[in-house]
Amino acid sequence: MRLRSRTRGADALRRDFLDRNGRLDSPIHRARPAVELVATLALVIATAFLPRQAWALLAVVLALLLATAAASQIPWRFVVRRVLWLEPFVLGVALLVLLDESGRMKRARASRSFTRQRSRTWHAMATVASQLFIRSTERADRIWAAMCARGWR
Amino acid sequence: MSVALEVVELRFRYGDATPALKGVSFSVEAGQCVGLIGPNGAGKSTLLLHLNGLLPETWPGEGSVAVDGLRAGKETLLEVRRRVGLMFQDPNDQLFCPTVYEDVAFGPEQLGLGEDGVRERVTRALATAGLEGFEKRSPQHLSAGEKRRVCLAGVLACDPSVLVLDEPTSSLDPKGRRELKELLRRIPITKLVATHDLELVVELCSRVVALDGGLVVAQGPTVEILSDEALMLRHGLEKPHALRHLHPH
Repeated sequence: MRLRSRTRGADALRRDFLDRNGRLDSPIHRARPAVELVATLALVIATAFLPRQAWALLAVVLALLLATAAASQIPWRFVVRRVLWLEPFVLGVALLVLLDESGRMKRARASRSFTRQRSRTWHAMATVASQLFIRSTERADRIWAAMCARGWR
Repeated sequence: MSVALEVVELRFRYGDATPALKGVSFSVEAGQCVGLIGPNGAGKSTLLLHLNGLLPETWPGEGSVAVDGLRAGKETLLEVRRRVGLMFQDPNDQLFCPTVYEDVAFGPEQLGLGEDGVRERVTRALATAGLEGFEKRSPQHLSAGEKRRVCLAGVLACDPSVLVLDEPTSSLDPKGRRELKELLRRIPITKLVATHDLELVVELCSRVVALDGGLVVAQGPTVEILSDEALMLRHGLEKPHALRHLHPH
């Protein structure tokens, strides 16, 4: 169920906002979309699985991200602004939703997990990951709808 | 009496799926509290989303929705949303700010009221909802009943002319339910309450609209409709206990 509600104009504006640097030419921009997608997912998953106090590894992730940003030739000012100013809000909300949702699913799964077979575990994890994505998207849609209901444009 | 909410021949379908609303018509008079009842999948939530213009693919689509005589459409979208205060089924979908104050202030801020105006609205809404002293608390760490009341305060702060509630008592304990019920009774705004809690409908609503399969299957005075045991059972509902004493058979 899609509850997105933006006027066409706002939608176009948003797309331009997201894609303002989409026409730059750089190794990153030339990479195939599939490569970009897989690399991004790999990084996200790897970061998510890092132990909580693995600062050294987190520094490596940060360096990797900075190197990618540099290679993409997107203006630093844009990157910094997105990360420092816009992203914390959006990311904060998204992360809260994700954590909350994953917590609930973990509990639901734990209450019905009786074996510790590895193949089963992998299968379950894949299911959880996809469910998590779908649920988060739907929940984000509902939150968006609730924001619109209180006048968000 | 003037009509606060008028829905005429509203139709809607999700994607290619079977239609969710097949021509729904009803109206709510100003000051009335109307119960919207029906089994799961009857189209209640879909209908409520329409009242706030939240299903945009075809919105306003077929049929019409009017609030205080203002017909919902692209140009009137924001004003319709201001006039209709929608409280969602799951408080977690509605509360997203770090503090209660900020969450209740969200609506007034969207309305472009100044800092003082926002503060005044928030203070009043929190007082109405019995939430004085909760300003700095985190909504995520409140009880279900308190979360509900924060949601309600957030909607009331927008000063709506019609209050639309989706399952307001679900997941509440008896005390939380009772408190919310008393609170709703005290708020003199026109209300449309979609719920499976038929006891609540008896206690709160003077009229009901029964929905099933995307159609209005019955509407009228609460006691009359809910006492019709055959009708209730036919549509996945049942006669509430509160009415068993009134109409024994």
